[in-house]
Amino acid sequence: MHWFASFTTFLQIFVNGIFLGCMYGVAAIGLSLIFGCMQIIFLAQGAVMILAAYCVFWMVTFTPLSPFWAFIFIIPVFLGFGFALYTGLFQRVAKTGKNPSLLLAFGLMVLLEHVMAFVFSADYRTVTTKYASTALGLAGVSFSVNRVIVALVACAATALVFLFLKKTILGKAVRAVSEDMGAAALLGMRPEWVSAVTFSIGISLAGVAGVATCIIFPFDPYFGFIFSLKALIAVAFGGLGSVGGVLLGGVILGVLESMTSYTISGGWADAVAYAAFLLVLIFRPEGLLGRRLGEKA
Amino acid sequence: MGNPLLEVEHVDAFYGVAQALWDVSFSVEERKITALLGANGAGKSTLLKAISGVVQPTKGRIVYAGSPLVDCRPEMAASSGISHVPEGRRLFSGLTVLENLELGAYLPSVRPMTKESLARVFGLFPVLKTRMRQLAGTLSGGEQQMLAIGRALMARPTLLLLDEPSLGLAPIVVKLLFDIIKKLNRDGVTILLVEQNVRKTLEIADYAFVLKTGVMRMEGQPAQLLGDPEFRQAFLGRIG
Repeated sequence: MHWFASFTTFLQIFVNGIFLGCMYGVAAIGLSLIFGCMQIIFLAQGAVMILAAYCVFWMVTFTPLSPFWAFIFIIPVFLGFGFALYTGLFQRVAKTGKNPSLLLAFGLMVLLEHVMAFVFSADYRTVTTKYASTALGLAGVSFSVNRVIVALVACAATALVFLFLKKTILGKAVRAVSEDMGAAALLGMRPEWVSAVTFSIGISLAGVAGVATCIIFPFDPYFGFIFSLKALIAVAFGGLGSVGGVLLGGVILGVLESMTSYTISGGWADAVAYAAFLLVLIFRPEGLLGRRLGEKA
Repeated sequence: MGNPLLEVEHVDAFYGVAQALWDVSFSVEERKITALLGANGAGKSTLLKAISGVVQPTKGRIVYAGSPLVDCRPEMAASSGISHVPEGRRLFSGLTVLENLELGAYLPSVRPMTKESLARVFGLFPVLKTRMRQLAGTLSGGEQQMLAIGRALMARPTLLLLDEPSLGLAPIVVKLLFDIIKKLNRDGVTILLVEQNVRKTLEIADYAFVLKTGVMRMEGQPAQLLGDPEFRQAFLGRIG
């Protein structure tokens, strides 16, 4: 174990952690939205991310477009994909309780992973952008342009979801259905429709996180599972119910991992992350930033 | 007798696996306050749930405004003008008072009137206006009940189903709520009121039905019921 060579090094590691954390955060917001409407941990979130990563890979391979364009098309495509998944699969199963939904999510994860391995092969793929080796310097800290763009997109996606939930009647209905589906139905909301919308947004956020991932990391069909787990930890850090909190939870996780990788070793990053996850669950199950039950606003 | 807005005909219904209603028939007159009385577990809440589509009757039918509610789901009941203020209020406690009210006007048919409806609700319950930005979960019990009723009114109901609005509230708040229920009724809302507070309820009701262990046992105008020894024995004790 060694300490930081200088304050600049510390800052650099910190900034790297923030960038990493933004990706976790976006995947985690999707996870927490889906948890809100279906009360299940959507294990296939990571596999959906990797599916989006392959979409980008093939787009870059067959068209002259920059991978960043994928952020624009992936949102509507994955909204539609999410809507189809919900109405085709989950809506029927959700009626029978949440355990079947959880199993279905698990099955979907395995199916997606293996289909991707079969169709796209299990080779590592990389997506390169023309900024791959470009970095901006500020106060001795270098900012990779790729990561800066990814972080900005993550923040923009978070802001959009936040505004949707707070300002639109449908967004408010999403929050209402997450709290009390029965009471929402009595006011004329169709829980299936609201759940379908929520699920679709969750899936499209997984898509955004997938595009971000493939721009920064090489990936294979099985790379997503670890992201499902990381997103889950981010949700636990941030606490359910607050979009900004969940993004911040992701950032905390990213910084924690990045600091651990530097001061101890990369192999310890996951161990420390999971240990922190357990500690949070034991001592502050409502999340580091979540409100305690019954606490006044 | 005037026009029945709601007619329940020979309804059987279950609460979970247990049968809660046996061959229940009754009707609610348009623009009247109809009370549904009975002890805990008599099936009053199940009956309201059957009307608002939360529970499906296994037998019999429910006719609302002249047409039967067939395979009715809560969303459908809501869009046909039935607002159900459920037992325990069921507010969205993590949403603000204003958001709860806005969601009361979620139906496309009433959404364009949200502003006017809000003004009306704030007129009835001025305290809600001062608490507008607060989370619903932070309100007092009485304020929560006002919000629950206010939220139901945002849908501009023809028929308002109230499930024990006075439960757990201080007498002064109960009086205020009952005054408001009377006022709503004068403004043209038909009310079906489920209550355990028999005295207060009979003061404002036009007609009352008594449910006992899932069977409709008695009915009549408040004066008739109050003069019935069996009713007095069951609900008002010896002194009453």
